[in-house]
Amino acid sequence: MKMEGQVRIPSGCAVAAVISKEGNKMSGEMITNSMKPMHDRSNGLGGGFAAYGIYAEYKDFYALHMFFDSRATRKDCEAFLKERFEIVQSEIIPTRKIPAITDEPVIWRYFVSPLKSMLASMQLDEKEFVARTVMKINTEMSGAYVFSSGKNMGAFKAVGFPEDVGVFYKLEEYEGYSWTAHGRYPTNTPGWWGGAHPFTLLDYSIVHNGEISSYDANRRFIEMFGYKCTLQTDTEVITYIMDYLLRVQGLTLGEAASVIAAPFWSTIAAKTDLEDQKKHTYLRTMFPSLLVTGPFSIVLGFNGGLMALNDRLKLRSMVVGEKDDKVFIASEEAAIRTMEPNAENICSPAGGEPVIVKVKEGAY
Amino acid sequence: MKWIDATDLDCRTLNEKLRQTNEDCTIDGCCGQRFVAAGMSDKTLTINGIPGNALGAYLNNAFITVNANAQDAVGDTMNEGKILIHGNIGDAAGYAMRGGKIYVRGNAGYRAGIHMKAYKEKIPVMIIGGCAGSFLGEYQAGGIIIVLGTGSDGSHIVGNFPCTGMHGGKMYLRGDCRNIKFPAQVTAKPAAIEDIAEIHDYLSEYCSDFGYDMDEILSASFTVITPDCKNPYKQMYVAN
Repeated sequence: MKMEGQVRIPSGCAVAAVISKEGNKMSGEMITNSMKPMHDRSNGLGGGFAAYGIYAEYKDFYALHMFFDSRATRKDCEAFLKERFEIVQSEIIPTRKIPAITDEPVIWRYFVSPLKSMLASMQLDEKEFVARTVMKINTEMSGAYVFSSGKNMGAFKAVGFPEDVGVFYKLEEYEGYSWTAHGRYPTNTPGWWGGAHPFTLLDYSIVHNGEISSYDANRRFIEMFGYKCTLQTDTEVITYIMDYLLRVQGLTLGEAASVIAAPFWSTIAAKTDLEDQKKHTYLRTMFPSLLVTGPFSIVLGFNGGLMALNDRLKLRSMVVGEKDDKVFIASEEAAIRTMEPNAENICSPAGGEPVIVKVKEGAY
Repeated sequence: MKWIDATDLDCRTLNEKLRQTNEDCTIDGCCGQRFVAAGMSDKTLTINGIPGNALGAYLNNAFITVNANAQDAVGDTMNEGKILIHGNIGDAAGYAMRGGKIYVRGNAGYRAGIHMKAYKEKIPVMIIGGCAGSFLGEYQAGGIIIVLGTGSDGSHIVGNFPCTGMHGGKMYLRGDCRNIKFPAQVTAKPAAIEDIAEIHDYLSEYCSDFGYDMDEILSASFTVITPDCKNPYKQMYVAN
């Protein structure tokens, strides 16, 4: 079987997300059910979820979620991890045997803390060290793949329909303040578990509906900064772009959105707010290679919040709704109504206009 | 009148149920089922809940009322009939429609009326009561698109880039449209009495459908947008 990375994968897809601004916990059942009315947007070759706030008891440790092709690979990888991290917990990720999900790899999670001696000798901060380790495993260790590496969050993904993937991973047993979901419709792939969404690095996760035409230009640029795109999947590059802009460059979410979904020059020229015009001119000039073209609607998850964003031409759908402390985001209103029949203020953000939702400080 | 409970029905089953009867139907609990009433003729249908994408695609003279919002691609390529939406509609409504009417009480998403067309007596009409997103009437080739902008302050009743590639038909925007930038190949001018006369019956029907006051709708001026000539792309590819 060909793996991801050997075949180019255009995708259609469904996305959904829910967050409590008060930091109230929700089980994964609601987000799993939200994918049911959007079943036809996926074709069974990938489904996945990102959950925030689920590992409160290990919140100071990086949660590495990993796929292995065999027990031997896991043993080798574990030896490698022990050279770099203190491993405080190592366990199989609980799953449920169901007919809809088959051929699962070895699915494992580690709660780890980087060894201080390693950080000192490499002169790196914790996050950069973890990010580099993830890149190293994913590019150099055949048969091992890190698909989640943040603190107090985790991605869960598989080949299958998303509503089945939620059942497979027993998501109803997790409690998170924020969830994102994805149903995949790759039209040209054998499908592999690592290629399902979300794509994550540290606590950033991306679910994406669309097809990026600037993939290779974006990839060539971002790989100059130590990122390695291993899967030829366009969503992977968006994840690394967001990590680069937000963590490395220190941009705000709104500024990062203005880089990847920059307005047309004509739209910038027509702006009457001159400060805003200057800022957009600066961002487009500074990061021209990170403009993401082609259709996309994405939800970026991070510790304490979500950001939804459409491409500037809005070639994919995205609906936002609210109810009490919760904000809902989905490709279709039907998915929002499944989560909350009485959702209010349903609206569709304009292309390139980010919707940023944060949990109140101290509540996550 | 036949009642159909759409809870947990997939789109195929729901559409089969619609087709199994000659009676008019009411669907309750609709939630995202696609292609509802696709290609349907001679039936009156009321929908409670949220119909999925491509509601009334290829519609052929059925009458659909939606009591909530509708999603993307309402009336895709519809030929005849009428779709009445009491809420908002998603993107690409009336994609390539070639006849019939889509009346929306609320707002429309991006690309409403993209590639609408007309031929002889077949003139599609879309009326949006609220505001429309960017690329309204993209590649419009025929038919009539009307945006009323009720509930807005009138400054931006359409998003960016309206009429991109427009080469036929007519667009009416309520207001003076001073803030709107149109492409070079169209002309926007204040609607004359004959222009308003052309859409009077549609507006009157719309007002009675949604309980609007016709006089109030007509109290503001309208701007009418038309392409500059019959064939702005003449000789672009071949001499014709």
